Amino acid sequence: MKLRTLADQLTSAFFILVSVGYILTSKDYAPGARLIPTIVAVSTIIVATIQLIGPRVRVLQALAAEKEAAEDEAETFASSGYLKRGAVVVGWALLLHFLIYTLGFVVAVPFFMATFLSLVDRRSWILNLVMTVALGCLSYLLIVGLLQLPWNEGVIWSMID
Amino acid sequence: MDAILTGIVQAVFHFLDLEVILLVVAGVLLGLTIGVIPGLGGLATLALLLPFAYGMEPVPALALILGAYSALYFGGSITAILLNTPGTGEQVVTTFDGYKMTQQGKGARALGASATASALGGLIGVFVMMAAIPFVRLFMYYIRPPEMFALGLLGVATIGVLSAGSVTKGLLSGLFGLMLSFVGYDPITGTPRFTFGNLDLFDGLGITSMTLGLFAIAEMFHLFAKGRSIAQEGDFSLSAQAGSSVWDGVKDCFRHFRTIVEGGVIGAGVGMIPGLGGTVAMFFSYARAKQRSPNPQEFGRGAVAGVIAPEAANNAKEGGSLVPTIAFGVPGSSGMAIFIGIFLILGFEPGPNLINEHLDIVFFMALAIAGSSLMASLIGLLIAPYIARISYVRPQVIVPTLITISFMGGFLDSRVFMAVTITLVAGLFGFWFSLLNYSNAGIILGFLMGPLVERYLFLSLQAYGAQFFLRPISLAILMAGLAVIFVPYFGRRAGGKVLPPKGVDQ
Repeated sequence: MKLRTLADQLTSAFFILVSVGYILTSKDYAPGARLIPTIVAVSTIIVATIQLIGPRVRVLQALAAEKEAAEDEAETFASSGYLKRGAVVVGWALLLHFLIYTLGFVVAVPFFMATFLSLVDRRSWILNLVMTVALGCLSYLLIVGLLQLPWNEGVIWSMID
Repeated sequence: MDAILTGIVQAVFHFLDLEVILLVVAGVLLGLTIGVIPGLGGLATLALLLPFAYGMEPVPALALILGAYSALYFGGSITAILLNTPGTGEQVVTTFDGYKMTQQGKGARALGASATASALGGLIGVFVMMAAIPFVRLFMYYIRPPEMFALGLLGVATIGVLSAGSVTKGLLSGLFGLMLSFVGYDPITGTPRFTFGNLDLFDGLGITSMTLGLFAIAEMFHLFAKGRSIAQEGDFSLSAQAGSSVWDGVKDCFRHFRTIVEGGVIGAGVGMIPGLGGTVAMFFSYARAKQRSPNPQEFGRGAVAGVIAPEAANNAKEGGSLVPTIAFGVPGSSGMAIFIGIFLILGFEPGPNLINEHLDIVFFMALAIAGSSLMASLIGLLIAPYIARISYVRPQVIVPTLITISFMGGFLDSRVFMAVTITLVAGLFGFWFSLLNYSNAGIILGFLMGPLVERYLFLSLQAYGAQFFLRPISLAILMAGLAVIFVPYFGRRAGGKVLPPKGVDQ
């Protein structure tokens, strides 16, 4: 659970840092435009500080303490392989994002599906082929058919042109 | 009264349109299909449906989305009963007796009872909702900008605190959502805020991208990280032994009609209280049925009333939770938080204006929920065994498919690549926050309520000055918000348990 506690503390610190940046940025805005953002950011700093120090301060413990149900779910965090597989799927999502940026949806989607399914799920090549073709067709219909955008909208195509 | 009758008549005409009926059927099929995929969940499904709202007229869009949303719960019941796997997470109570019945060879009977109870419960919920609307309209005369501001804060605090791991995490979720909502043009002064000169951010972060990221993408990350299909070991054969047919289950419902009525009323009542959610309604209804039963020892061992009671409550809850959602813009459940986003996409502002100016739409929603519940039960019973096979599909296939579709849905939002990036980043935050038991529902609600809260604060200050929050109703609502935050605190300090059961609001 040490990892979980560290993650909690880092997240609280993240909220405080974002809120401070928020207040500093909003100083340049007109009074009407910065009123609510400032109130919300100050409230966030207060609550995040309670979250950060709450477990060590007796009077604040009840506010920051996890519910029983949440404690059960927290065990998932420490289970072996969960974070590793989580990191893998996040990596795949980042790859898809990069492919869409460089190649555009129409090329990136079937390419991603074919790559993912052939590397991660090798049990049925027929299903993999069907999924790749189906998602490829969907992306073409959506981007070219519905939105009437060019199929080659990624940055790589504009560089070639 | 004339306005109400006119609204009802217009709603009936909307509903009888062939295109609308076909969209409801399409939504029902979609909801049933998605509902049986374990782990996907109601919120993720609603998020995936959000892009459909673009480019559609309000009535057809609501027909499709409400059809899917209403059917989702029966879809989840199918796997809860046949596979001991609650498809939407809320149906954990149905598994207590439903799965036991399947093990005893009475799976078809349990499905019949579940379908009938869901349909009747949905009708009761809609009836309660329609009966409540005239009273709500009278009450609305007293609702002014200060009260709307207070209700907005109450909604964010309630959903956040009740669905997060701790009080502070719930509040931080809501506050973070509010902070994200301020990106883009300020509605009062027109100042672009927190855009850092990026033109793609001038219109804000985008409801669809945020919702898809926080729910659909985050849920897919979670499903893949778990690394297994929950239904791998299940057996969903529908035995045809004597006294165990679908029709027997239907007859059971009429033998336990009082259980259905009580479950429906409990569900609708709980649905009207923001943040409590379906699991609480199902537990209350189950407990009530067990308390009233002459054979309470049979509950948990395959009692058909143990299926009927929670199923009636779960569907009835949807009608109830629409009341605070449409009347005050305060969602009755996490699903209704996303519905607020759908309203905004369709050009409606939840709150008094929706009821005063679009009463036909309000009643149409009630009819759509009732009709969808009936259709879901009828269609679901016919195709349940075939649909249930989807729950065997491996996450390795579902996850890349839905991540891809979510990215496309996010792109539809504003047609700029930034929307895809926002979807991905929201997904990363959603995954991280759900791991740490923050509330993604609280974040999205804060995000949706931000502009409204800001506008009502501005109007309140203009009209009533800094003392606006001392108006009696506004003060009472703010006190209720403080109670939501501090009652759990004092409960814990006293060592008492004030917590909802596991799974509340997912």
